[in-house]
This record gives sequence, C-alpha cells and structure tokens, in this order.
Amino acid sequence: MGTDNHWGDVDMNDMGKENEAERLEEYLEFERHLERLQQEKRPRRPRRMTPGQAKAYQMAALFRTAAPGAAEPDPAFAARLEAQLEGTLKGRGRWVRSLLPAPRSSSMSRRSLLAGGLSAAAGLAAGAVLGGVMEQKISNAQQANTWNTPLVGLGKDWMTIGNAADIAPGQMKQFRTETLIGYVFHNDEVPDIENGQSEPEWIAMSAACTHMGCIVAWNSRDRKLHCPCHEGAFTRYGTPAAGSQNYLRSLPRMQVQVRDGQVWVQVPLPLADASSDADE
Amino acid sequence: MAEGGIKTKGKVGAASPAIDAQSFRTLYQENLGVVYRFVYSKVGNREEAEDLTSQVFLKAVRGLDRERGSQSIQSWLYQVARTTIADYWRAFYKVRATSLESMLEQGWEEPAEERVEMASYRPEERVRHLLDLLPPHYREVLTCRFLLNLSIKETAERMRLSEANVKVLQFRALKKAAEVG
Repeated sequence: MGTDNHWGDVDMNDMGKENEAERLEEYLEFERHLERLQQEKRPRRPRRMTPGQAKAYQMAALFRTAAPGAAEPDPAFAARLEAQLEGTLKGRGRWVRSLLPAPRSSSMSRRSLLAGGLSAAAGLAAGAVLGGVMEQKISNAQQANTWNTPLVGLGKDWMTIGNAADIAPGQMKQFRTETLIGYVFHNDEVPDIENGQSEPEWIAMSAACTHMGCIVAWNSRDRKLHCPCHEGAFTRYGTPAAGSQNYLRSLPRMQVQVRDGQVWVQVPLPLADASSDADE
Repeated sequence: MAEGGIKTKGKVGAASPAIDAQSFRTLYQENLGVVYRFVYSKVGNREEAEDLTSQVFLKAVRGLDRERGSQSIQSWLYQVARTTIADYWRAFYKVRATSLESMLEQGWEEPAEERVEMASYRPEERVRHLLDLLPPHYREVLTCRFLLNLSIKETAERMRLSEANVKVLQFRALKKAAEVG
C-alpha cells in the first residue's frame, strides 16, 4: 500500500502500529457516525468515550459546519420554534405531546371516587384550573424533591386501564387514553418501613420522555424504560436512570387506585370534556 | 438586537414574566442563526442541532426575568447554549462527572473556542485555520470528507488509497486537528 499511493513518504502500513489501543472496530464505528452526520441524522456515539475519542468526535462535528449548506437553520424549524416559544411566553405551554386517539374506558365520577376516600397513594395531587394551564401540586416536601415534573393539561378524570389481577407484581403495563400514553407499574419491592422511603404498590406515570416527548419503551430484562430518541432511560419508578440524570427529569406521575379489582388512573381530560365538566 | 435591550413586564425575579412580543421576535431572529451555528458545530447534524437549539431557547425564555442589554442577552444565550452542550456531551464521557468544574478537574479540557463570545464564533474560519495546520494527507482526507462531502469510496479513489485506509486516516486527522487546535 505504501508504494501505491501518491503520498510518497506516508507508509499506510504503519497506521495500525501507531496506537495499539485503536482498533478496527473503532474506525468502522467512527465511519458509521460520519455517514449519519452527512445525512443530517442523529448519530450513534459510543458511550464512555475516552478524552481522545471524544475530541475526534467533537472535531468531526466542527468540520461538518464547513460542509456545503450545513449549519444554517431550516426555515420551517425556525418558524416552528418561534411559535413554540411564543406559546411558552404566553403561558399556554405546549408540553403535552400529541396523543393517540384511543377508546375511553369506562369513566368513574371524580366525586364518587374522592367521596369514597380514594385519595391517591402515589405522587402528585393535581388541581384543575380550567381555561388555563393545570400544573400538578406537590403533596409534600419529600415528593417535591423527587417528583417535580409537572403534568400539564385541562381538567382530569379517573379512568380504568385494566384488571389489577392481570398486572403481576413487577409488571409494567402501557395504557392509552385520549390525552396521553402512560405506564402503570405494579411494584414488587418490599416496603422499607423503617426509613419510610418506600414506593407505593401501584405507580402510574406518563410515557412521554421528559427530554423531547418521545414515548419510552419498557424493557423487562433491565427493568427500565428506554427512550428511542436519545437513549435516555428511566427506572421502573420513573426517575432518570444512571447515565441520564444530567439531562432528564422524572416522568410525571398520576394518581392511581385499585377499586373493585380495577386499576384506576387519574388522567387529563380532552379539552372539550374539560369544558363541559366545568359547566356542571 | 433592539436598542435598549429587551422589554419585560412584571417584577424582577418573577417566575413567569411577560416579554413584549416585538422584542421577543427581535431577540429570536437576531440570535437564532448564531445559536444554531454554535450548536451545530458541536453536534454536526441537523436533527440534534434542532433539538438542542430548541432546548437552549426554551431554557432562555423561561429565564427572561429582567431588563437585559443586547450584549447581555447574547452572552446569556451563549452561556445557556454552552451548558446545554456540555450536559449533552457529558453523557458520552467515560468519566462520570456531575459538573463542568469536576470534569475539568478530572482532566477534561474545555476547548479553546469555548472561551470566546458566541458573536465572534466563526466555526468555518476555525476549520480552515485547522486545515492549514495539518500535514497534506490529513488536510486532503478532511477536505474530501467534509468540505466536498465525498463518500469513503470517492475519497479513496481520489487519494489512491484503500477505503480501509481512508477510515483510519480520517480518524487520525481529526485527532490531530484537535491536538493542533
């Protein structure tokens, strides 16, 4: 090879000897990364990079700015972000992601649930403010430190998402309503009564990643919820998993109860239902 | 940037102050390109650049809590952008660290250009400067792959090298660029 190129004194055969730590797989992985950059797509970067590796990857990003037409914001993106920011500034908030239509399960009167003493065991107590943004209130100081991600919506109602007997301890079940996709986790951990830090038996949480709103997926092997967009992960309790704590907040929780063998979750109402509920 | 800074309403330090719509548009239009180019130069692709630029502006508008001069606004946006990028890259680092400071203590170096102001940040000029500092074969492989956007195969043909060698060469060239820069 060294004689077949026009670089004269560059002996390409020595390339593999320069640094034994560099492996062929590293080069291939780097090339796959560059190909993604050229396609303007989110690349897959190796985890746990050494400083030397990170510099090469960061330098590749810098050099991409010299590519023809790169590094200028797309007009459609600029308009989208401007609208989003204006919405935020006006206090409307746009944090609830697009929600898949799903048949609404049988609905129980909110009053009957509350009158029956079914206050939520878990997480956040939501207060509806119709005509504006509803932000969940934190029920006590400890939860304020742990479950501080607000769930935004208009009004709320209890909905059943299935039979409690069908969700075994340790199982995570996804559910969909008209306003959100969520998970219910049947906690199989023995309560730590002495420290008073235990999680409740039933936990309901939003499935929208707190980074960009992608729907997280449950992996029963590592017992984590994984985001398909940025490789972020959450524990079965909805807290950011190791490696994700720096940029993720906890998944918002919802109130959950088991009654008459059914699991009930308190979820935001669609706008039309919230308005009619307010008129009652 | 509008003369006299951004007009905000409400008390200093209030959680959700209002900002005059026209002032906001001016702020946004004058800074979007600068922020986007800065972010793009740190991630190298549109998808991530759009995500992270959105994060920067969303964090920034939530913090519009007082009158800021145009210089101050831009410096502040830059600070938010820099922190956002550092947080993003930190997830890939081998050393677990909880803050930029602790990373620096553990041997991670803040790239030199991080210390300049965003307004004077010219990534394209820096690329050209780095290319000038590199040996010819490194310069050519990076020119082919990045400035000309050639594929591995096209680069290999042009440089009369095997594709495998181009892959090695480009990696080494970028590491070298990081050293000399």
